[in-house]
Amino acid sequence: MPHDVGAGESAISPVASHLPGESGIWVLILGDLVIFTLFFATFTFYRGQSLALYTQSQHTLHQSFGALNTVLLLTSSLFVALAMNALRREADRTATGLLALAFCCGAGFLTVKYFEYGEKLRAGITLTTNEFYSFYYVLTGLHMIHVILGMGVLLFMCRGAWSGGRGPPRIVLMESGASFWHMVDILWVLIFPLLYLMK
Amino acid sequence: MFMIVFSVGWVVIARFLPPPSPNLTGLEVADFYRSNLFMIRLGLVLSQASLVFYLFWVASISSQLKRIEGASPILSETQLIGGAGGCAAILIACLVWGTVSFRPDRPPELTLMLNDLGWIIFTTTFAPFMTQDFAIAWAIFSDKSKSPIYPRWVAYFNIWTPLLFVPAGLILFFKTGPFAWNGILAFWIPLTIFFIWMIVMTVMTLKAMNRQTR
Amino acid sequence: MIIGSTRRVIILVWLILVLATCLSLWVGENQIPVTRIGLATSVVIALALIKIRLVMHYLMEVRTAPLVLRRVLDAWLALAGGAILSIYWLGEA
Repeated sequence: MPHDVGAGESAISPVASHLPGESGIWVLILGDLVIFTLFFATFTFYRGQSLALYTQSQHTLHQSFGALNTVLLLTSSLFVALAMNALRREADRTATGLLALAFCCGAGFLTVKYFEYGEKLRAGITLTTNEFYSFYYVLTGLHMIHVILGMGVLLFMCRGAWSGGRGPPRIVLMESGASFWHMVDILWVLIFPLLYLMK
Repeated sequence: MFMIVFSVGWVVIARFLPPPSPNLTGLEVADFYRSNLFMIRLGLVLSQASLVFYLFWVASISSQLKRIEGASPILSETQLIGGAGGCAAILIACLVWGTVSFRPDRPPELTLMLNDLGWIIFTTTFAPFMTQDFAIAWAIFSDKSKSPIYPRWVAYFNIWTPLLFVPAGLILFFKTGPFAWNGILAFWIPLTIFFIWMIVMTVMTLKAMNRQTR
Repeated sequence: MIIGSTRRVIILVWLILVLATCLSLWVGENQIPVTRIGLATSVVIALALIKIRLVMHYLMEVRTAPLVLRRVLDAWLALAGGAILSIYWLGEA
């Protein structure tokens, strides 16, 4: 396995390439990317069938909610990347703090979603109101499951960073978690323009 | 073997794939059964027979998980129960469809209801399969030995599959479109993933068994 | 070889990502003449694809990953972008 080659060494290492995380996590990441792509393609296809309905329904979404959530997730990815950097410099305390900040961004994302869903539901818009909203709820809901799962991973990473310890197995585990979180971010970066901006 | 026999019975002989639309009326559903009565009955019997293989398959995964767990085999037992539950769901669905085909000249509303029942049992059941997945994943993650029974990517794979069974829960809400029981996202993708999952688990379990006997 | 990116690069990339988000919001929210709608959407999708590649390379540390993974992810990105855009344009036509 390529991942345990020099993974624990600080900054400079002789290896030519380095797989972030254990190879197994990439099965999950690539699998998820492929399936979400199928969802995106299906959405775009059905959208083409009834354009008027989709554009009209899209007007009721608040772009600012979506944009705010994008920035929150991008920022959490920033914190996770900085945390990995700190871990390699063996600055465990800093890494723990950064991971906690990333977790807070995730919590912020869920809060925004709570208000967004709440507003839609109060307006009587549900899963079955029309096809656009079906996609809206399903795509964001499925993504939200990933966010919640990812926040669990971040907590786990926080504990790992706090409790210290050195060596390749630890950093590989942390990289796996980080890669999963970045994937959650990447998915939202595509969901945002598709649902909120596509005209 | 389960996959082959079930596919032959359910797809080729009974022609249940692609699924009849949930939007059909009772009369149309009755016609679907009446036009192909003998083959549907035969196919459903075969589908049921294929479940014999499914149970053996589930048990052989559990016996490998038991090797990881040793004295307290909670996860392998959970996997076993999940497999039995999943099998029961498929079995009952076949029996309900069989009931429809038993008296196709019933009033159309009854035919419609039974047909709905069969399809809803078959397509929206996700909890037992999800249980199997999570039990397998958890057991593999807990395998700390130098030569693990299953490679760790199989655990990640078993986290990926249940995430995609989730849309199957949407089937109750829709009669048309991508989330209905004949839609791409709620039916075709979970079904495809279920089959990929079975193939992967079969291959990896066979490999584990070979290493065991060696 | 250095694994991951330096702090400076990470923060710079994040700034670019946030700016790109604002830009796509501006493009998406503005009142666009009907003839330009397709173009605006394509720009928004393209921006998303660029953002994803930035996240993958500089935050996810894919830039220094084995060639196979980089190729696979680029192929996915091209496929996803190509599929979404081509289906979109088919729908508009």
